[in-house]
Amino acid sequence: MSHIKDVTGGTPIVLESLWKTYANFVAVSGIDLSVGAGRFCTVLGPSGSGKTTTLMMIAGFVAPTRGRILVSGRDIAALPPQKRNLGVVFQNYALFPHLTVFDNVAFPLIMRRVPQAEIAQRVERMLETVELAGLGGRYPRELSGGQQQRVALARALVFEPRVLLMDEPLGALDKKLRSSLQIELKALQRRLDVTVIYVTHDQEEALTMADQIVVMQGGRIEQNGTPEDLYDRPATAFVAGFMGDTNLVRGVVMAADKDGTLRIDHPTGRRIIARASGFQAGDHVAASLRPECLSIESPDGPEEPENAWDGRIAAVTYLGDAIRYHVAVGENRPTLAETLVVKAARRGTEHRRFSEGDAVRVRWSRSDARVLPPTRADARILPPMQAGGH
Amino acid sequence: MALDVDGQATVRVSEAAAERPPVRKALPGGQLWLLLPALAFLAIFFAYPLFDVVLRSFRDGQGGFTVQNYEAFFSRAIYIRVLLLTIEIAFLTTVFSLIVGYPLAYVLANSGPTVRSFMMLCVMLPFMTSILVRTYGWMVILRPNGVINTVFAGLGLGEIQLIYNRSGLMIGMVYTMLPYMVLTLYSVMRGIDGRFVAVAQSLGAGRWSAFWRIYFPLSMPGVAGGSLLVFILAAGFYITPRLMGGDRDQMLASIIAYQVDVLLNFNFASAIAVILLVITLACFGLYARVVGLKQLLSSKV
Amino acid sequence: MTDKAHRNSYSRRSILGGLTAGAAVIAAPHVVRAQSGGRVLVRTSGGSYQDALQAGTWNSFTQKTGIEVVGVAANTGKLLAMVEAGSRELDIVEGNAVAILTLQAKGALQPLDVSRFEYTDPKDIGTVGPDFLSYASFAEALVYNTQAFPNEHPKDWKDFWDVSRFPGKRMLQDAKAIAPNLEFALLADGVPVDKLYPLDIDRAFAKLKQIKPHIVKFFDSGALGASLLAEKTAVLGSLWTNRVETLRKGGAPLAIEWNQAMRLTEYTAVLKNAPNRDAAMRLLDYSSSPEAQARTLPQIGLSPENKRAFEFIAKDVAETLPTFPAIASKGFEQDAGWWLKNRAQVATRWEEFLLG
Repeated sequence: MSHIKDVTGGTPIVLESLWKTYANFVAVSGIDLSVGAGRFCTVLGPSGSGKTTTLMMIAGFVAPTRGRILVSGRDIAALPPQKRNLGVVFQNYALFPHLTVFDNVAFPLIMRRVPQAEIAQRVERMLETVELAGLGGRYPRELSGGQQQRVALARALVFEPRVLLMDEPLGALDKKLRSSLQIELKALQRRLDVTVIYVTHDQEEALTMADQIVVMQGGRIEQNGTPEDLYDRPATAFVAGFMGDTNLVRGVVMAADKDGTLRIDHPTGRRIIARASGFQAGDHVAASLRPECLSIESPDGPEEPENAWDGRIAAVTYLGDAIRYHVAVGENRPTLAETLVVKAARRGTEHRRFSEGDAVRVRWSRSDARVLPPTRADARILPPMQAGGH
Repeated sequence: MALDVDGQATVRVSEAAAERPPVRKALPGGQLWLLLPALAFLAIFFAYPLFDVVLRSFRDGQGGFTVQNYEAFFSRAIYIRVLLLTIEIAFLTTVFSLIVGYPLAYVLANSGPTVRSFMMLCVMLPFMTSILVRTYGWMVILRPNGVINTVFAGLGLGEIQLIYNRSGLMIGMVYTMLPYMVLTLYSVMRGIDGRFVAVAQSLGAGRWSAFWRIYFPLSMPGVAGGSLLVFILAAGFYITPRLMGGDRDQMLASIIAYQVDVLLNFNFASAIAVILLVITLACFGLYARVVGLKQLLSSKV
Repeated sequence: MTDKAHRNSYSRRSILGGLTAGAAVIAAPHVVRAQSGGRVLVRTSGGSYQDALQAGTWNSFTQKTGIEVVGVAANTGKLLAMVEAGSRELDIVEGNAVAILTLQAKGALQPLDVSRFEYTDPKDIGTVGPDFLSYASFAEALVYNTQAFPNEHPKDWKDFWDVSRFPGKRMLQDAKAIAPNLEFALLADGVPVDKLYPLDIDRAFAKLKQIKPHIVKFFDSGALGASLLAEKTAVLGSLWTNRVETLRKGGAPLAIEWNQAMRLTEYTAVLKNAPNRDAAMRLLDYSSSPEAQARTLPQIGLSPENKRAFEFIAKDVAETLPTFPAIASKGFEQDAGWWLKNRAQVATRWEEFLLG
């Protein structure tokens, strides 16, 4: 658990050992999470990781098996959704198709019995904020995907909730529109000073917007930290693999020096020298090697120097600004063979230096190899004292 | 940033929309012949008999052209009364079918697979039995010394007349029409995204508000379609009114049957049938105007 | 018989019948002979009626002549539509007076040459028209529940109208069944039997109006009428006597008061464009014979129109049949001619009466 200091006013959210279990399935297994007021927290994970269940528990659509959900310090776990006063934006927006844009946005205000005149004012202002002024009379089906997204946002924010929950809200949009909306959304969140919990499976999106990223896997929190933390210092092999592309090379620590230098042997007999603390001889580990940190060259002499593996180009992909090489190493022992992905930046007008079948040498420096414990066991553990509930 | 991005988005969406329509486009000419069997079937078994009925309605006993059949209908207050009664009974049947069918369809559409299969079977079961058998079944339950009145008598309550009057007719009619109403509603309700109600609740709506302001309007195509279907079917209904209705529950279909079977007056019967058809079409037209035909014909929300 | 409840089970029955006949062609030599002798298509109202015809008349006819008999499902309306459409799928029709007289008026009936009859003496037949014969009759009679009236029961239509002496729910016939019971209303109002026709429509409806509050239902099919009485929904009513016999056999506590019962006649004829005219004439002849009628009609509560048929019917059965002399003398015969002329007018009056 990393604790993030409140940088703005607003409302913090705290989850305390939150569980959701079904008859024979644990969806969320006792997570703790604290999101500071006004922070943009992205919950990232593959499908089935429990991220949406967590969000739905906060929104009130799924009852937690046990645990507390604190908003401004008050436990809302037992409140029905309509009493929680949280803005929610769903995937595909779920705009009411039979209501106009204006009526969609006015809906939460009508439910709160806001006077008619004030409703009109606040809706117009909100539509301006999301740059939809003048479209109030349209029906959702008459809007583009991006516009619909803004209506959903306006509707979730018009009643000035202190927390906004979003479930893959940009998932249905094309890439280009998505990236511009990401920036816009972030700016809006800053301006309105609202705490956001944003669920996505897209790590790029997470990196773009979040102040805080929570990676979930198998109903647990794998790592919780800033985008930089997660990308540069993944705590587990799973996080490393999930946050961008990486080569995870598994091996066993053969020797651990006092200064933190590790010698890791790969089953093919190859070796990785890296620096990391907290490991000892005999540990099974995974070394994360980011493709952009690897270099590729023609093999020079028969002997492999430190952190240099010889192999053969299995595939070449032209990326425009870079070239990606798939290098097969350990061909002599097919069952243990490993493919390293190398992303080499293009220099000048240089095209492909190597082509399929070429013998090459892949190199990296000690500091580029990040040694991680293997992914946490996937086993979903039942919560203590099942009967507890709340 | 919004403007240019939106501009692009709009273009993209309209492009996508332009690509999508194949679904709505007519079949390519080369495949139109696939419709021939259906068209031939409709022409032979639907259009021709209908045409024949219309022709007959303008014929006199000697086979010459006349409007006397229509004159006979409209000059008699009694037939106008039966016409109005027919509309009244069909309307009441529709209203009660909706009142009973809506909650049923709602539960059906929003319950788990086990409950749904069981309920679906219950709803469909009457479809698989002869209408005559079903009607006699109801008669056994409702008649003066039938099941209900026996229970009432056992409880020391007086005998109530449940059959051979309007209440008997309504029970029989609603029971018969319920599957049509429920299945039409169900097909629309199944298509309503459950998240709409969830969103409404997250926006501050209580269960009732969420239902009334969101779910119910979204189910309107089903309400409209089911009501129209039941109204049209009920307006032409024949067996149940005769077996379970009272002497005052006279409907046009029963008069048509009487004219054909007993009085052997085909021409007058045809005229009444045409009038019933026109009234039904008029109701359909009025309805389509009010509700919107597009909404009526599409069960999609 | 205009019994509507029978119609539904009918087509299936005839299909089954057809299948059985087909199987029999392969199995039984005498049916092979039957096929070589041609066939006759007969319109019936189906159900138990057709079963009785098959067992009592058609089977022996086929054995004697080698002519196969096929029943065709059609109610009166459908029958007329078939004739009008020039259908050649029908040889013999039977129906009530209205149907037969309508067909006659259209010139659809084949003149009969009764001198060529070999099984039937035309003199024994109730009515012999130029192109039709009377075939069977039934009656509409006052029927009462013996448990409701254990000591004294209503003995005529005046009693039927007397709700203080004979309390209880009643039923009468709807116009949609055959015709409304105008005759009974007039008899209740004191019109003597021999002065009934032409019916005083206004007077009859005025009398019907008196009893209307006590009518649980004007039944419009024999099945419904039977069920109303059998289930004691009504304890008193007019009903077709053949129906009552069936109910009594089933244990219903019902009895017929033959006094002032109204007889209705069913007629039979050969269609002019009958595809099997000669075979049809032979069947018409055979069906009218005393033996065939005695074997067929009492089984279903119908009375033979061949008076010699009673020679072959047990006395206790004969006493339940409306044309049995001792019974016939208590009642009267419906004037089909009057109804043919006036039914359309009565129909409209009837609707007004129901809704009035």
